[in-house]
Amino acid sequence: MSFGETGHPGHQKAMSKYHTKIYFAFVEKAYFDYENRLRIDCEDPVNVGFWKGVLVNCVGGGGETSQHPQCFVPIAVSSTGDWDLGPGTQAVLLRRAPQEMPVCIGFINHHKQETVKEREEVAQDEDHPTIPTPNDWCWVQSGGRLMLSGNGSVVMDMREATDPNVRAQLGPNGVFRVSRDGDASERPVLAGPLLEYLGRLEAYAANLEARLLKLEALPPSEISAAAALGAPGVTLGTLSTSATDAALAAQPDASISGLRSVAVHLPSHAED
Amino acid sequence: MLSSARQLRPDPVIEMIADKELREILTELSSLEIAAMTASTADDPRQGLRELSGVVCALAACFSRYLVDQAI
Repeated sequence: MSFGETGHPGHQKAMSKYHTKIYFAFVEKAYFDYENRLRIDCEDPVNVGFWKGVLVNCVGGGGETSQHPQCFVPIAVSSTGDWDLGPGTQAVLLRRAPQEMPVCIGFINHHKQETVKEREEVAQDEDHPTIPTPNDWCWVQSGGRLMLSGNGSVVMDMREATDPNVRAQLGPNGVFRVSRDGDASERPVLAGPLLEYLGRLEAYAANLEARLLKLEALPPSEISAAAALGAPGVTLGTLSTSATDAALAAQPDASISGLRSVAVHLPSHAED
Repeated sequence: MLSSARQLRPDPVIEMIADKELREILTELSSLEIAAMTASTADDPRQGLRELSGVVCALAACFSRYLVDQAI
């Protein structure tokens, strides 16, 4: 995940080959650790740091004056005025309370027109390494933010997105995927228990669907109960698909009617 | 045996979910799977799997939306 573009020379090549990746190439991951601290793992020197309560991604390295306007990302609380981060280091922010208001930890772009103008001016500066590309413009126009919630999950807010050709998706296991005109890239953005649980849930759903498709292809005479149960597979926290559970299934209180009742009474979230 | 199995495998992650209804459904998912497997031993062994697959898919979508709603 990245929090803005940069003209770091080491990534000029990446810019030319993987246009969409350059925005997500500088922070390996951001997450709340078990001590309730937001940790930012960096994979590249200098480019990301905390400054006066904001997370910044400076263009070209250096001090405050080199910060790019698009690179400011507000963070709720900053306990450090550290600016530079060396390679392999971590930046740590303390969070005030477990239910802190969601904070923006990144963005797809900054959509203000004046910022575009500033970028044009910057691009004309021969001493400045940043040269906007067509994909840069695409991002500038697309809108969207990455939000870190109070419970440590990261979500994407695309309500202000303006470019329908740019698609961004936050997937299971903290994978952030962006695409434009068939060019896509993926990046791990955050690890958290709820996000991991979502990944397990979706993996379990995929596992069930795959098993079902396999069984549907068989004639009924070849389908046994054991085949339907399947081999031990994906484990989803409190449940497994092992044959052990099949033995448990013989208990009298287990009923498919409960399954049906739940299926038609899902919370409103699932109805959208 | 069934009740002891439920008690032995709690998932602390589910307890982090603020939405009471969603939390309860996910808590019951283990027993829902058991119910589906029971149905799979009936006339059509695939029936329980079909139902469980539909529920889990819906729950995954529900949970994904829940995470978004919680943070925005």
